[in-house]
Amino acid sequence: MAADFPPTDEHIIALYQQRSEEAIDATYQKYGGLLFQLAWNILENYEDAEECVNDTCLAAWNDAADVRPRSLKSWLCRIVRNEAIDRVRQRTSQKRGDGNVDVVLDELAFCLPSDEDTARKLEQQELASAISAYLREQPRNRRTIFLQRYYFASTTSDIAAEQGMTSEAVRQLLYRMRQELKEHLQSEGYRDDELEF
Amino acid sequence: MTNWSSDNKQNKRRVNRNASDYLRLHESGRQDHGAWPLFSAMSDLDDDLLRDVKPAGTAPTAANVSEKKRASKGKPSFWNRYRKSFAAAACLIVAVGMVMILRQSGLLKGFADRSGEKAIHHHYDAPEQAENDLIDNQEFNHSDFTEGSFNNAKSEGEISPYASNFGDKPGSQEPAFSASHGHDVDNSGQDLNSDKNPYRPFYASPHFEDSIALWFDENALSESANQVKDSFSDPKDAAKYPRLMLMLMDRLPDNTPRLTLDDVKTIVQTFDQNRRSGMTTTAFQSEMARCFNKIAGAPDRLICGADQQMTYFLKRVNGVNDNYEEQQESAVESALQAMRDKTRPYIRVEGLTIWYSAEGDEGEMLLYTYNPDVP
Repeated sequence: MAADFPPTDEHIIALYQQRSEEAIDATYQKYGGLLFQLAWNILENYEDAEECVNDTCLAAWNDAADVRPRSLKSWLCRIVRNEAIDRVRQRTSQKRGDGNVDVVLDELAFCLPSDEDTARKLEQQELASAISAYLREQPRNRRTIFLQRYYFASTTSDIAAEQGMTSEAVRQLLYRMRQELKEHLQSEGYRDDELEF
Repeated sequence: MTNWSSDNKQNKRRVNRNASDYLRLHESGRQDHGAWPLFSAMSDLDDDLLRDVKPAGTAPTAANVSEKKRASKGKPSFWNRYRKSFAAAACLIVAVGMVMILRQSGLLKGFADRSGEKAIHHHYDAPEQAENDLIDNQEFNHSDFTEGSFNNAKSEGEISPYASNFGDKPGSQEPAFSASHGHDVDNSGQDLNSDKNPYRPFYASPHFEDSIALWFDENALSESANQVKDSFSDPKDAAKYPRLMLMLMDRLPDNTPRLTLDDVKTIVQTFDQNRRSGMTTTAFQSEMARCFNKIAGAPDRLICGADQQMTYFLKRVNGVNDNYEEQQESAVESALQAMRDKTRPYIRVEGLTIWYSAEGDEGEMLLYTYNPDVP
């Protein structure tokens, strides 16, 4: 298959499914910067972010045989984001103690995912759907700002600079959107008796 | 976590956690933050929402990521927190150590240049060590002057009592005649002992002036001494003529080596063969002084300030005044005359040139000019 420049998503996905190692290079070439920035925003550690991107490509390589993503960008972002979140949680776990039990549990979890984990995934997907529904109702610029902040974990100052707003205006907008999201989640049945905003 | 309820559609899903934690979202600094599930759930947002969105700002590069960001994993350790301070302290210690080593070895110009004679002249800076030096110099001989010159033997403690000129003064109550050329002030009033003065090494000790002043006082009844004293507007000026004053004071060892014109020519020739371009005046003079001082010890006259120059009186050679030493230039009149009229042979390093004046010649001849632009 002749390589396009820049490679198209379809081309990269095809490379993955053909088990061609060019898929990794093409992924780095097209989405390496985006993935690294997303990992960096969450981890704020250069080596960790690099490893995270590497792990993402490895995960993509492993999963590509079973999954044909509709959007390569979203798929990769989801993987790198989850990798980064896991790393942050791992750090937190290590800080709580020596983390030995957590390591043992992680090892066992590899053998058989727990029902709780499955349930958590379902819950997570439900919650994501609710948030997606809320975001669809938002104007494009508001949606972009929300995603930049809460999906890509960009700083408010960076968002403000890119959107031509002040940081304070961005914070105000995010605050209003959080309130709206809260109301939206309440309307979706999430318990609200302890909500205090 | 959420609980599922079968009551009705609105109450199917129950969130059994504080929703304010849920929605506070990724608040850094809190561990086990309750908003993690919400933040994690956003990974599963619909693909189309992310289609045209990218992170704000730019990702850092390896070059501009700070060490702190690179290294920090969780709470920084004591070492991570203070390692820059440790590194700075270690660098400082190493730098100080290197300076000390270079000073001791005389390689560091400005500190130990003293025309390369720092190690040899170290006692000029430490007159309190004179007693130790006296012990060390018990076996005084000519080799004491092969490097560092007569100035090695200025202080009473440093000049061997066995030297011919001092053999009759072992019990002298004279104060220590230390130092090389004394504390000098040039014509412009510049303090020659200033650290910034490139000639400071030749005027390392202020005791020379005191020694001269004391000598004048002790010889107040001496007509010749008074004559010398009167010849200077200020007795301190006498310190500018260390070699002559040492002769007058009968302190200059008779075996003190002198530069000869041949020595100078050899030195200049060697320098020119190994010359390097771009030397400054100070560097050139420092290099010349280093070479000359290996024989003469120090210039006989030094003028600092704008007219930086060094004068070395040369050893009189055969046919001119071979009995120079025997005549004991301590003869006040002739010495003063030599001093005033420069009738003795000398070389003078001024700027980037070296001038030579022959015996009895009032004119000067250009001996060498250093051109820094010539490679």
